[in-house]
Amino acid sequence: MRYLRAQAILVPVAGLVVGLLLETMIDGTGIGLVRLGVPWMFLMLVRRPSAMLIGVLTAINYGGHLLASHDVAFSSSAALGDLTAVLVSYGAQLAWRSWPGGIDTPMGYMRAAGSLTLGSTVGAVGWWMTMSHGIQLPVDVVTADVLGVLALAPLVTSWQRGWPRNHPFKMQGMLAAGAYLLIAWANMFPPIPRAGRHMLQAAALLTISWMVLRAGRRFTSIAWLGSIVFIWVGMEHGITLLGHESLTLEEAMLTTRVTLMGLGFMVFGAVFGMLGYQQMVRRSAVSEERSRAMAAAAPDAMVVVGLDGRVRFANDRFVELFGDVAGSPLGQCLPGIIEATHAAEPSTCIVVDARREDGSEFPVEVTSARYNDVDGSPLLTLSVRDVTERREQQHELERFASDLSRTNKDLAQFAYAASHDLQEPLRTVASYVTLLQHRYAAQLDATAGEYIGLATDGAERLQALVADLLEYSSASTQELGVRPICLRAPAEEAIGFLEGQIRKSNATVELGDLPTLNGDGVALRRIFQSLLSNSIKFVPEGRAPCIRIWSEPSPEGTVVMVSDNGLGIPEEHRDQVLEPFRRLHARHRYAGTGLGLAMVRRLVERHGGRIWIEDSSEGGTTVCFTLRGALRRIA
Amino acid sequence: MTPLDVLAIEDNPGDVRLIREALEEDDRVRVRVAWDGAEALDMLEHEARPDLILLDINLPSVGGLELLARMREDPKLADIPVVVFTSSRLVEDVRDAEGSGAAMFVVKPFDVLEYLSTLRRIRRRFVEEIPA
Repeated sequence: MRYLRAQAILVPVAGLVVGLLLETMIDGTGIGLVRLGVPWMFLMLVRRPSAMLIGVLTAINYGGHLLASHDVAFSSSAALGDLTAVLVSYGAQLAWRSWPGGIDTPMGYMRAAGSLTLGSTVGAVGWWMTMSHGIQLPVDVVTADVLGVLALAPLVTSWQRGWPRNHPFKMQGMLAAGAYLLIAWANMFPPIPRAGRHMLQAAALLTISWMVLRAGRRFTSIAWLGSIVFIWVGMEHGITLLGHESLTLEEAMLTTRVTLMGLGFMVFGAVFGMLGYQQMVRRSAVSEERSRAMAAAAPDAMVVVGLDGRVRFANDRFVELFGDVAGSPLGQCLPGIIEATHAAEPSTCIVVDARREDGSEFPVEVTSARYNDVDGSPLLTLSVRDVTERREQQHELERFASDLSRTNKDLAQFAYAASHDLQEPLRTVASYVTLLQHRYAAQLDATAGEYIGLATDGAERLQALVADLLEYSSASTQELGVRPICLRAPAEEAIGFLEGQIRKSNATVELGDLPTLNGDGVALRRIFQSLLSNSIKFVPEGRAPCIRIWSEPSPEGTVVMVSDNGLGIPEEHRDQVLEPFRRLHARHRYAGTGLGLAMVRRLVERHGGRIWIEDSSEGGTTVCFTLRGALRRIA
Repeated sequence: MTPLDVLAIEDNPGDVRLIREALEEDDRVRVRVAWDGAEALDMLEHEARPDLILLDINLPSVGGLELLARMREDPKLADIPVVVFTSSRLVEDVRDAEGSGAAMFVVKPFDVLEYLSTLRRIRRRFVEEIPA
């Protein structure tokens, strides 16, 4: 505030001093710079109404006119006229309350120009009527005032907004002010010969146009150019006419019309320019609003930090987590994060420990992105997510998995122990029923024999079930010793174990290409034995089983296939059949406990592999499985 | 002629009866029974030294294999012939039994008649070996 008040007075004083210097050098030249007074006073009033400011600036205005023209009457009426102009303008500014205030928005800018046009016209008309000068002078005055406010407003805006030294708008503002001064001075009391004056004006015009073109408002710049040409022509005409004492009404009207047309063009151009500018500002405001809304809605904490490591912006969530950190160094809540983000790849997550206000630490996941500020300085935006819960959940999950694995192992061990202990008593039952049948055959009738037969069958079935259960649970509990094994060996071993069955059923087993893989020899033998046993057993009556074992490469590793020409497994049962105790056929037709494939699956999965069933080319079943190199830790 | 003194270490009463039947068919054979490993060790310690031991390695408490190992350590007992029986057909268990250093190892057959004939075979083998 203080700064601006000093400028408010210093600028017209500086103008006055320079004007006076020029005046001393070349008579009649200084007054142009005094004309700065009206638009300047108006802009300062709009910024901050102050009676003291009005007083001081009016005094400077009067003093300036006096020193320039040495005419008290002229100076007083000029000062009074200017004051009137400013007050009327200010009044108009206040009256148009529906328009946005201030001069740093496009609409405000327009309002200022309009208000000053009105005020200046009123002042000039009053001056014209009292002073009985030609109409040219008031018209020049109005033009100069409006040009002045349009040129000076950007400069004042940049001061208000505190824009940095190299901000483009500030540059343009200064150039516009300079160009304006040049035109005003050259037009008002030109001591320079006409050719020189034209060159100066042309130079000034070009400068303004260039400035506006650079800002990208082409239509405005063309309009400005056009308007200034008209004003120039109008003023030229007027000044030439000033040479003659009398001015006819038509000539006056022509001058006025041309000048007003020029003014109109200028306003028109300015409006369009402003509308475009306004749209741009609105878009930028919307974009900013969107960023703000997104930051507010974001579930993660977000923060923007400058080169110096201090927090420029923190969203609500960040403040929730770390307290009010605006302006503080980021390092106090996220130590070392800036170095870490420099070191990391862009768009990667970094996990670090964050520190709360109370000093307690917690883990967070941070992602970052860079962008540049308005003045080009680099900014870093960080998104911070509290992963304490996730870490806990992870630990929970790990605990759960290990509990589950232990439970599975316990269950398997229980099944194993149970089956183990069941075998002996079962054997005893079967044994003595058989002995009964054998040794008391004479004393037993047919029915008794039947009973004993059924009891024996039951006992035998139970024995088979317990034996299979033992094998199945052992598949889960027995330690697997992994080493590279050529699969041919366990396959041949299994064939050896099943020799009797193979012979009895006239089965043929063909071994194709089998790979060397990491596995447990006993487990693999069991796998082949179980699959072969199934293939031998589940054939239609009278058919000789033909079994092929081979392997094929695949993206998930080598696939081992055991294919037969048996009954086949319908597609809808293929998943079921791998479950324990699942049988597809009636007991009296095909014996079996339903544990064979379940055991094979267990062993395959413990090797980290996968098992599935397909059709075989002979209408039977192909069991396919893969084995991975590493064994899974989960039993 | 002294009878063949057989110590059967077996916890299944059904099997004990069958062992007695098969072995004591021959009058020259006498069977003593220890129902578990602890009792067996006690009997070996305090009673007469048997000529033959029939050991079921699937014993509760003191495991059969452990008992065997302990016997090997004791010089008095180390040279008594042991026939090891296992009821489990699991390859792991069978291998354990095979490697136990026993004179003979038998997987108890499911078929009771086969079991009896195996026992008789064992009896005949060791009776023939008794020095007269």
